[in-house]
Amino acid sequence: MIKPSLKSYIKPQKLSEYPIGTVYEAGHLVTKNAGWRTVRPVMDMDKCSGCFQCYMYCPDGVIFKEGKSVSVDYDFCKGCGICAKICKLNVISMEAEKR
Amino acid sequence: MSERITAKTITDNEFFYGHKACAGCGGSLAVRMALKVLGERALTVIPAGCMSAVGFNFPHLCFSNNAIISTFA
Amino acid sequence: MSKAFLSGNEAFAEGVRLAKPHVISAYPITPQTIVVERLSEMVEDKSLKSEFIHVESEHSALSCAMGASAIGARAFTATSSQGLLYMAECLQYASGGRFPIVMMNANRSTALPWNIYGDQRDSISQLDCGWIQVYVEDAQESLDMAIQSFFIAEHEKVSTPVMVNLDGFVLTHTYEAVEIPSQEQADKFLPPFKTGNRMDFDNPKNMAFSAGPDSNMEFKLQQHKAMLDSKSVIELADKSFAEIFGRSYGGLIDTYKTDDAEYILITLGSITGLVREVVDELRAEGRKVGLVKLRYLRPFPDKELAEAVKNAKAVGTLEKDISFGYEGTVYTNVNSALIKNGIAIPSYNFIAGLGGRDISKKDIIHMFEHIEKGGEYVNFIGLGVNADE
Repeated sequence: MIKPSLKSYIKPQKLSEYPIGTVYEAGHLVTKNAGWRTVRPVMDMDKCSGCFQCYMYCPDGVIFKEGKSVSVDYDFCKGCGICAKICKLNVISMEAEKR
Repeated sequence: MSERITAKTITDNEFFYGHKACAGCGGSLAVRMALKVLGERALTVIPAGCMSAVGFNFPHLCFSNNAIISTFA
Repeated sequence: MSKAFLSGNEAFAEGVRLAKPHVISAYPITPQTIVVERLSEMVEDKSLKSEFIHVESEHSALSCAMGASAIGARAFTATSSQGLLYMAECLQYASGGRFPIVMMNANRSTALPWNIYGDQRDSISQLDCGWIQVYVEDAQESLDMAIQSFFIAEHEKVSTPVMVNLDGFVLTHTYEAVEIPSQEQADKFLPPFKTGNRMDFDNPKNMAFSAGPDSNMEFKLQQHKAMLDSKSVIELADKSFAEIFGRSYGGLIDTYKTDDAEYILITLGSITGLVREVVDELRAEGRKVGLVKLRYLRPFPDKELAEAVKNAKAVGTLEKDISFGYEGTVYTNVNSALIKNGIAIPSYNFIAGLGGRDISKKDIIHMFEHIEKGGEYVNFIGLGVNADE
């Protein structure tokens, strides 16, 4: 699956390690968005019918298909709650993030 | 395209991921969906605006296909 | 190889044809129009295989060239005064993005007041934009620099766009006998454009990104260093060109009778030709004068210039430019070079030819007299009025 992924990035120490002219490999992520959340989506998979509307409506694309049901990439979920709003079967509930 | 693309048949590839847009941003959803349909051979040109500011900050680069930010005017 | 009677613009178009760019995107503006007209004719009759894109403005012309360069195509565009200022945003974009584009700029005065004739205010006002800037003297040099610029821009040590400046009308529209090299010679000199800094389906790239305070200065330093490194590539290009085509222009600067000169005039562009004649006339009278032609304003050849004038008694800088409220910008650059190299001689500024006003032999002789006798530092030459009233 093609997806930008987290890389272990070390800040260049020498000038020659910087890329020439603002060109760099595509899909190179260095930080997570997890710290943005105050609530997180929790799924009750028994109720899920596999319609994948939450997958389609996630603006960050952090909901992934797993066979007939879905899973959430909590590294990059921002806790916006669109998935919970769109689900017609109330599979997803937004629970407070435990700090 | 011979068959309709539905939620079940759309590609699993994510081309716009890990960006720093506001939580729930509609614009980023539009870009995500458009790129899923256009596929991995799409060359993306992003005008100066939110999508370039949230997804293109060295070294955090959020497009997995070829992309370039265009000039302002 | 053939000989033809061509204007500066037409000669440049012939040079571009030999360099075989993949994409030409340009918007017409006097006095550059003939270059793009000829190139469009060459694309039409298939003597040049290139994608000629009609764009709606100069800003689009350079943005289009950058898009072409981003996928690894050799790109060319051309413009003049108002067009150059219209694409001013894109100039810095192209140099920061290190796209090796070649642009021909027909030096023309900038509005207001409107003026279509030649002076050098447009390109000199953009000295800081990060482009390598070269100023050519005649039509043969225009043709040769059209080919050389691609070599310099695309060299891996440089990877910086190049602006070739021709004086509007005086050079662009004046006809001279020009030798057009063969395609074999051009292919021998200029290899096909290959770079890793391009979009690729096997290794996708994200280009033209933003860099915050934590990394921005390093990118700018890298750009600065590349332009300093380009000095050696420029000398290499001149030598390599001379071996294949038989013509050399001296590299970063060209000097004429400076070895024992006491009074040296520093010039750039097409006026150099007339100054050469004046130097010969004054030498015949026994006056020890010389001429330094600045070919490149960026990177500025400070060491080469200092070496050429170090034994002179006084120097003057003739330019078609004024930085309002101070002095001519080339003069500022020259003085900085003199100071940094420990040359403490009187240095004078002659601002002439603004808006296309003619510079005559008498004016140049007057300049040499001023350098010898001293006087005001900043002088406007050839005014029709008394400047004090």
